[in-house]
Amino acid sequence: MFTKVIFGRYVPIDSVIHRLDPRSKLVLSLYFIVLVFFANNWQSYAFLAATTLATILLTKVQLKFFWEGIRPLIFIIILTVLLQIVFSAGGTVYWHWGIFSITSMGLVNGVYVFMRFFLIICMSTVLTLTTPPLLIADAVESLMKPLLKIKVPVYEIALMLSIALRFIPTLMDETQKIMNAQRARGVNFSSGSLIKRVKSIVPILIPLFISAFNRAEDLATAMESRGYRGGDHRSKFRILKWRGADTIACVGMAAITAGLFLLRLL
Amino acid sequence: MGQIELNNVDYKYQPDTPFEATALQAINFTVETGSYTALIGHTGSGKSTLIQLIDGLIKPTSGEVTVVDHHSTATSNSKDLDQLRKNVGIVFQFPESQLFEETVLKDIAFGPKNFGKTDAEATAIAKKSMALVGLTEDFAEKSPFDLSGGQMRRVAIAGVLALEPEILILDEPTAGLDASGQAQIMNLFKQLNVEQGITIILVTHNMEDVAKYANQVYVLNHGAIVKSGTPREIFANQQWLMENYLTVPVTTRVAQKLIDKGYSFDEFPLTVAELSQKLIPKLKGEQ
Ligand SMILES: Nc1ncnc2c1ncn2[C@@H]1O[C@H](COP(=O)(O)OP(=O)(O)OP(=O)(O)O)[C@@H](O)[C@H]1O
Ligand SMILES: [Mg+2]
Repeated sequence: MFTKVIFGRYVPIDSVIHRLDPRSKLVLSLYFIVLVFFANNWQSYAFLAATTLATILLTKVQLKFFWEGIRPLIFIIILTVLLQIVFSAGGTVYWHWGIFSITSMGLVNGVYVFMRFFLIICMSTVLTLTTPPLLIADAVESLMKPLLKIKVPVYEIALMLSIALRFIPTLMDETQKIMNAQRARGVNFSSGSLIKRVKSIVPILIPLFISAFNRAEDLATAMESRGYRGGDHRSKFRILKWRGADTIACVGMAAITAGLFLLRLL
Repeated sequence: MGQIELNNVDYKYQPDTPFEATALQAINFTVETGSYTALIGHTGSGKSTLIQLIDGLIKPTSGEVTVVDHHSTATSNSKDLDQLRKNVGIVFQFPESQLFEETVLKDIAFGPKNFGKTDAEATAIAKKSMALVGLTEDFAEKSPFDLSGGQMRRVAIAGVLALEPEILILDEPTAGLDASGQAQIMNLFKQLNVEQGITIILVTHNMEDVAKYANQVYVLNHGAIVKSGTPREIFANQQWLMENYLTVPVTTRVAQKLIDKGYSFDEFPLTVAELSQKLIPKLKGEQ
């Protein structure tokens, strides 16, 4: 059931984007998300869409796979956008019922909101598709290091993040296994009344929580028994290295920013 | 036509994605009513995938699965798949993870209730199943999470037996149990097979169990069935088994050593009982 969703999953192939330093990927995708909010006309949205498409192509992940992976999320966006449209006012009124109305401004805004969400999801997916979760955690740690000076527990935060990221696929597998076992005992997740379906979640959640707690305990014991101590004493197996390609990516992003601000003037 | 029939079945995990993995290919598999079938093969050869197909938990990428008179193909919907499940009970690898109720008795009664039994009927069946797996009545009101690993395993198995299935599928049911517990549970399954005619499919790495209980064996290797036959036929060729990363029962190994030293058996012995029966007269004769 989870197999089609690719949001947050890493695809282990080789591409220019895969080889970038996780720090530059992380910063650049966050930067791009901010940038999306500066687009204000269809030209600027089209420009950002084109750069996003170019980036997706550079990852060498099949477009069809990418599209099928984010499609489930698009339904959620469309729902939000529909609410946005019927509740916003301004411009020519096309349809009106009680507090709901469809107006020209509402439609235009709706399309823009849709584009914003869509571009943000695409770029974050590019980040997670091309970067192993543990490297993302490493990047966060490395970027947050200056905060050590103001006593932010950077190493602990990074450790928590990497453990969380590491266990997402494990928990998904576990969920699938437990669901299979309960389905074999006659639980039906896809039919029956709403109450019945909500109730059918209990036989999954309880075993899942128990196994998650057991895992956490085992992990803690294993770490303690091997003398884990966080912080500066630890050396790193994966060393992050800034290379020429990262600089080029940053320059590219600067060019995109310049292009966007030119188009804003239209 | 058997009770379970797989016809040229392929199965791919996550088809059409970069993660695509072929788990089974061109599987033809038949199980007759009341038989005891062992499914062997090294780790990752597709055994667990195959039994999920039989229970309609997944549907084939191509080909057809038939269980009693329900079918599943690539185009089946979830209602069709539910039908397959009616006759089948599965004890999964590490079934303890299916426990969730407050008490042992409630957890065992969970399955029968889902399949339409009343509370009273389900409780009665649950008590019966507890006795079958060797859990005394003191356990009924305990929380399943306060039990030892082996006791939890028994509760989980009882929860599946309570479904009163015509076909019972066991995925390494005794892995991690102590020796006497293993023998007890395996004897219970054989007894259900012989006395109630329940069809059994056993997935196992334990060749002694295969030799002792099964009357039909399928060998899987890299997602394909590479050999099938009676245990005697399968274990007769040790060389071939080794090449397929499988071992042979200790008894068979002893017999093979004896043959190498010049002994001859009219029929290849599989179990300790068979081997000793054949050896005793010979040893006596030589005295
Ligand atoms: N959810 C999944 N997604 C992708 N591939 C999978 C998945 N589950 C299993 N596989 C792959 O399918 C193949 C068959 O797996 P399966 O679990 O059927 O093996 P098995 O014979 O039961 O092994 P074992 O003896 O270890 O239990 C393996 O190569 C495995 O990597
Ligand atoms: Mg398995």
